Amino acid sequence: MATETTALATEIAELDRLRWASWAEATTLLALLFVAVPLRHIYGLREATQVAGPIHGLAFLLFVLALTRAASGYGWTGGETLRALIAAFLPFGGFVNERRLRRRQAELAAKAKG
Amino acid sequence: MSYLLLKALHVGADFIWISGLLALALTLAQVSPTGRTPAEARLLIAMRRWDGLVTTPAMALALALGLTAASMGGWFPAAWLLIKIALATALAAFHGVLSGIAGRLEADANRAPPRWLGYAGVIVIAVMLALVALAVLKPG
Repeated sequence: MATETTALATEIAELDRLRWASWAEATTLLALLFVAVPLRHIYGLREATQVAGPIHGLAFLLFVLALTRAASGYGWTGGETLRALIAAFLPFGGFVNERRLRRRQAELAAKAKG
Repeated sequence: MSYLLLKALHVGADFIWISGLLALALTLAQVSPTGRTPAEARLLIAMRRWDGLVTTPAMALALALGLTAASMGGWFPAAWLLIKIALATALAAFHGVLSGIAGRLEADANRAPPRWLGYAGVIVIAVMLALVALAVLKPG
């Protein structure tokens, strides 16, 4: 019982990391698309995308690392993993991922208590 | 920060990332399929700790410095760079998969490691060689 509770706590912590990564990926994608790209094309500020692009790129790569780590560590199906990955390419998709992960965490927390 | 200094730091972080990833891949490939000896269990714990404290931060640094250097150097959107980014993303994903498997094997001593792990080291080396070739030759 104690071992199962520890395993659930570890999984909840892993999902916490993935939630943060989803949130960072989604936020930087929106900043890139709706702030940096208009600044570049309307005001000719190339620096906006030169800064926002790599920041989003890094956030995306860290999301990929966190996603594959959680998926392989906790036996996600290929469909679940692919759905989360595709959502990350869409504006606001990362927030959908984050909400789904929060629900999963709540389920695990209830299981740990019950 | 100068472009050359950025590149030097990027290469240094790459070395730490790839060597840590290779060590993780080779360790996982050697884990017994049935049960764990105390030495194997200790090695798994040590590798996971190294992965969390050194290899993963080195990966984040390598990617951050690489993307910044590419942006500073005006390399976007060269085809070789886009392929390099795709390969780095694939390697980051592979890192995540190995990291997840290490966690599973550590948590469950009776879990057998996947058989394809025997090729994990070769995969890391092949991708690393492709990344180096693209960075040095800049084809196209």
